[in-house]
Order: sequence, then structure tokens, then C-alpha cells
Amino acid sequence: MGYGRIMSMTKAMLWLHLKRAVRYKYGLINWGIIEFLYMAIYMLGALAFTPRDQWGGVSQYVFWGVLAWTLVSTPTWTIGNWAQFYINMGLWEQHETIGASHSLFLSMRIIPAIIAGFIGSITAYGFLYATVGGNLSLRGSVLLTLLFLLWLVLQSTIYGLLLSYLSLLTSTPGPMLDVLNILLFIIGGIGVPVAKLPEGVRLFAVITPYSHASELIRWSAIGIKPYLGVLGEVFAGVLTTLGLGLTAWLVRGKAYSNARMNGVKGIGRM
Amino acid sequence: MTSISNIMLAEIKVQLYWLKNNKVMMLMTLLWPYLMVFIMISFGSAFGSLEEFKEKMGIASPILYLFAGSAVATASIAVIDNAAGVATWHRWLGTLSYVLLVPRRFVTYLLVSSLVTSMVQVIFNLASITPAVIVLEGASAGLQLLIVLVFMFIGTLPLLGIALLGGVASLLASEESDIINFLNPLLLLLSGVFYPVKLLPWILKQASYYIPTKYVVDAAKMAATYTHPPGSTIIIILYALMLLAVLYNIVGVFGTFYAEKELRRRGVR
Repeated sequence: MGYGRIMSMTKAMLWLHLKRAVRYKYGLINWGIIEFLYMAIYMLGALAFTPRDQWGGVSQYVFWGVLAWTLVSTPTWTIGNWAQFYINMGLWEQHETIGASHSLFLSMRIIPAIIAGFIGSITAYGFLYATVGGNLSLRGSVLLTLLFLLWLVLQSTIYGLLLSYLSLLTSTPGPMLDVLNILLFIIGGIGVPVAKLPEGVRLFAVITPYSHASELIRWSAIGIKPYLGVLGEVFAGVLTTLGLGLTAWLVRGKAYSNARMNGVKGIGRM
Repeated sequence: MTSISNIMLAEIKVQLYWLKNNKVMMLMTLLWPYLMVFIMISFGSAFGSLEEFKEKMGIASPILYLFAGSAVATASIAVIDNAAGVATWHRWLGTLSYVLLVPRRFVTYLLVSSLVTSMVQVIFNLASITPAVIVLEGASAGLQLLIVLVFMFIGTLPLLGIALLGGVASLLASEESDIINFLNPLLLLLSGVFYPVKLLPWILKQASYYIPTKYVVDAAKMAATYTHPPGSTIIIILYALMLLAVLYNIVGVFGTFYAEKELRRRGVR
């Protein structure tokens, strides 16, 4: 596939998803509110386990942990779940016929996911500040924090695509396959800093991709020292992201060849 | 005309065959309450302790409560999703026009099918946690779950009224998904499944009294605290749930009548 064709496809799909975001504006606002509400539930849940005099310190960990989790789960759910819509609407066959990229189409769902995540995060910040008070402000570099947040979004996009391919193989909606992703919230060092995890779990967290970007976000935002040091986290993060990408690429090949040989099967309602 | 019992039977079969034909989906559905409990305990314990949680919630058995609370949360999400989602689902599939034109009223179909689906979900969610509760807390705790089951069934009734409104609002707004499905996490936030409602800001605390799930959560707290729950508390919870069921279903049914009329007039988009 040539560069020009990729660019024209990207432009068309970008336009489509932006257009949809505006067309379904109430749905998008509703989505942003949902993000905020789930963030608030987890944040209050964590505070229910904590003595009131420690809320000030704990809320910083909780906010950045839950924010990182939102950036992991929203694109994953959005892209993973869209495989169901994509197939039920007959879009698979349409794109297959014109030779358009399924992966590019699915991954562009990241646009509304980021908008919703942004609405949710800002609101959750205000809610936590109103509930707890204390110092929740960003202490480190804004640019670096944004960069690491984007890295996390890239990883979850790849993972969302991986779930879409698995959905094609198993006829199960992506989010239902997402058990590992939920477990990673804790044992993968997203919600809880790796240093605070039990000894045996830390090794697991280090070999998973999300922990490195999450550690770097906590470092750049509130100055928590990363478990492997800054350079160590960057190196390990790049390696694990490449590993995730390779796995997604391999599963993609299997899912596509299966769909082309046997046709696509409808994906069950969740 | 299709009888109500036929609609009920069809819905039960759809639910069971979906699960029977998709084993991965069934396994994941069974796993959800366990995942919620795992996340809340481990996330909370990383910064605090289960003892602190027990004290703040005012319960005797935090494990029984967390399992029951997770089943309540999962079931309440399923009730709203099913009842509100079925309308947009038919539009996606292109079958909404036919459903609107069958002799049975649209509202009857929505209420009956959603009620059956919700009951199946409630039983499924509670059945999934029962083994863990019996192993961790003993057989008597398993019996206490029956109290929660009864309140979950009753709690489904007001939720259906809310869900009807969600479904028809999306159809009228011509949106692709349920545009007020923020109600789902809002109900969870206000019902205080994983934290005491007193942690919420004042206005949200007041709003929580109008949320059916709050009373089902209260029932779960009661089951996790008393071997013989006090009669007065049971009556208060039942009274509140029945009152909300009447209120929300009146609004939901009239909302659906209006949506049905509008959709027949202007067509499904």
C-alpha cells in the first residue's frame, strides 16, 4: 500500500470520526460524563479505605492512577467494542471490497475516546478537589506529562486493536475479553505505583507495557521516583510497547485470514 | 396478538442461548463481580486498610458486603443497559420499525422483555458470587444472600422505569447509543456501593435518596451486618423501593407512549 493511499485513507477516516463526533454530540457529552462518574467511583472507593487525615497525600496517587487507567481503558473499550458495531453494520465487507484498512478505521475511534477522556478527567479533578481539598496541582513538567499520557494512549490503542482481532476470532465483544486489562489496573502498576505492590507482583508489572508510562506520568506530574529510574522506565517501556505491537500484528494476521477464509461471524451482544 | 407469556419465553430463550452458544461470554459474565471485588480491595488496600473500610461503612462482614455490593452494581448496570439498550439495538439492526408496528404496544414489549432479561441477569450475578461467599464466609452467609436477591428483584422495578426513559430519549434524539446511559454510573455513584454516601458532596447526598440502587445497597449492608435483620429497616427499604417503582414507571411508561407516537408519525431514523 503506497504512502499516498495511506494518507488519503487516513484523511477520509479522520473526517468520518470527527464528523460523527459532531453529529452525535449528545452521545459524546454523555460519554465524557460517564468517564467522570466512573473515575469518581474509583476515587471515592479508594478514599473509603483510607483514614481521613491521610486523604491529602493519597488523593494525588489516586487521581493520577485513575487518570492513567481511564486513558488505558477508554481507547481499549472503544476500539475493542467497535468491532461488534463494525461487523453488525456490514462495514467489514464494505471495507474489504474497497481494500481499505480495517485497523486504521478501528483505531481512529481514538478521536472521540480522547475527547471523552478529556471531559471526564477535568471534571474528576474538580470533583476530587471539592471533596478532598489539599494539593492536587501538577508539580512537574506539563509537556513531559502530556507526552507520557499520549504514550499510554498509543499503547491502549494497540491493545484495543488486539482485542478487536480477538473478537473476530472468538465472536465475543472486546471488552468481555478485557479481563487482563482490568487486572493490570492493579498488578500492572497503573493505579498503584510499582514500589507499593507486593514483591512477587512487581516483576509482573515490570514486564507489562502500561506500568512504565504510568510510572513516568507519576514522576513528571507529582515527582514520585519511578521504580526502574527514568531511563530504565523509558527503555523498558519502548521494549514492551514493541512486544505488544508485534503480538497485535500476529493476531491480526490470523484473524484476517480466518475471516477471509470463513467469512465474519456476528459478535454477541454484551 | 402475541401473548405476554410468549414474549417472556422468547426473552428467556434468547438470554440462555446467548450464554450457551458463547462460552467465553458466559465465563466473563460470571467473572465480573469477582473482578470488581478484587479491584476495590486491592486498590483501596494499597493506600489504606479493609478495617478502615469496615468502620467507615458500618458493616460487620466486609467480604460478604463487597461481593453482594458488586453483584448489585453489576446487576443494576445490566438492568439499565438491557432495558435502555434494547430500543437502540433494534434500530441498529433495522428491526425497530417492525417492533413498533406489531399489534402489541411498544411499551409492553419493552417492559416485559426487559423485566425478564433483568431477572435472568440478577439471578446469574448472584449465583456467580454465591460459591465465593459460602467458601469465605460460611453457609449462613449464603442464606443471607437470599435476602439480597429478594431486594435486587424488587430494586429492578424502579430501575426499569428509569431505563425506559433512557431508551426512548435516544430514539427521539436520533443518537446511535443510549444518550442518557450516564445514568448507569450516576446510579452507582449515588448509591454508595463502595463507599459511604456521607463522603459525597451535600447535593449528591440528597439526590441519593431518590436512587433505587441505594436501598438495595442498604439491604446488602443489612445482610452483611445482621443475622436476623430488623423488621423496621426491611419495611423502610421496601416502602422506598415500591414508591420509587410507581413514580419512575409512571414517568417511563408515559414517556414511551409519547416516543411510540412520535416514531410512528415521523418514522425511525
